[in-house]
Amino acid sequence: MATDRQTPQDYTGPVRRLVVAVLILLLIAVFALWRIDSPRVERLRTEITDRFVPSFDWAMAPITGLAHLASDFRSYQRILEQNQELKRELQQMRAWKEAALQLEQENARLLDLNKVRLDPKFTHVTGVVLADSGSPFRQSVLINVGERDGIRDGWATMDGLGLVGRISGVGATTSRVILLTDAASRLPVTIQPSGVRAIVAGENAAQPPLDLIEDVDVIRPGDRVFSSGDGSVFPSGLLVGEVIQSPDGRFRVRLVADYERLEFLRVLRSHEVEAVDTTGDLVTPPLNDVSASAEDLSDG
Amino acid sequence: MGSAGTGYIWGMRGLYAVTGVLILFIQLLPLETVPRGWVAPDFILCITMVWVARRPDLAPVWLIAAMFLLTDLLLQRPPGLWSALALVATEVLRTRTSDLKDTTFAFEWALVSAIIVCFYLALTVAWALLVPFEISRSLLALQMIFTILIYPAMAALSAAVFQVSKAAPGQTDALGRKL
Repeated sequence: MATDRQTPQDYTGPVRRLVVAVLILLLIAVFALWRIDSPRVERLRTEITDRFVPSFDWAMAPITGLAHLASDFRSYQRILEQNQELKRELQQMRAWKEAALQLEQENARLLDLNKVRLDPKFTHVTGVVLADSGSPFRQSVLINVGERDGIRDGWATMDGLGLVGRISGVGATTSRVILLTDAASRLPVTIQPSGVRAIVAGENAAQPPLDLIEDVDVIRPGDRVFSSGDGSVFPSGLLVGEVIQSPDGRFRVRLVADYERLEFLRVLRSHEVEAVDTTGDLVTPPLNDVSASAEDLSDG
Repeated sequence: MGSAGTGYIWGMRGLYAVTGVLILFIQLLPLETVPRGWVAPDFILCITMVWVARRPDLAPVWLIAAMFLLTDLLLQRPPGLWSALALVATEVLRTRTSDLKDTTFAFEWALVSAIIVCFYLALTVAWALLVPFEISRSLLALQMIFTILIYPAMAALSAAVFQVSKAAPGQTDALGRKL
């Protein structure tokens, strides 16, 4: 007690050093556990996020709204030219809409003729973005739908137009969407019209590069990029973006989804497709029947 | 200066935790969904360094560990790695707080900067060796520089708003121990 009083601020005492060492070892153990059994620790992380973030939703939503309002307000300054621009675009859109309607009708007729059964991927759940990754090193968002709403790991997520990312980590009421721009994101795609396959490899940049391109010579800037469905993780045919060429000659993708403003995301239900995992067997009568009939033959 | 009673100490510890959670909350606001070429400084690390350098009794080691582990979990970092290194960094600083008592701010800043540089170097090496996914080293370096540059501002802010500054000579706590 007496010695304790004399050295109150002794941050090198043996007991304290032990406590600190134990704490550091504990943290390293958590890290080691994460390296060994990542899914379990990630599930714990999802659960903690699931508790923590929605409890701040009441404050997050208005502040985010205000920030968006402020950025909208800035755009009011050039409202006249914007209006004219929009009118011009609307004119073009009308033409496109007409074309799309005609194509849709034609498509419906053809599908009907062929008795095509549509993929159930076209049902979706829409969620609101609650939070982003909070760190400049990871690109992900948290949305307010989770296990409760039937969300599963690996499902594709879109905004109104294009693919945004995939679900990775589902809590009871929230789930995390790893964006295509995240350094850990890899997406197999098809580039149209050439049909060349490639991988969109996120690298923490706004326009992710195309990797492992099958045939570099046939793709051009302006080609459209769709998910290819390879690896059976994603449904195929979802629009991702447009090919561009960066000044260093590398092909990149300009994502069509509006990453500046991720507010509502739709999660596509992809029901597991039954896999055909055996080779076809020969269609024969059962074996004992074969031997019986052989006996019949020899008797006869 | 307020008295250094037990209530005051626990109040300030609570304030540290609330500040940390507030910083986390602001970082988590869904306003940055596009990757940018720049980063914000690591405010939590910075404010922790300020408090440990100024008043180590107000930022106890267990609270720092809890704070950083929560940050690791929420910000999608490998849990434990960042926290363990931050704990080592603050402990190194803590054992030197008695040297900081009678020196100028420049010396304090230099010492903290050296520790932050070591922290980020260790982090980069540990990450390269142990973590299965890449981290952008240029962004990490940028964050290190910004964190060092923001330190004086955070120190001034802590002194002005939270009244966290070095204990005056002869100031004692509730038990009459020297601070």
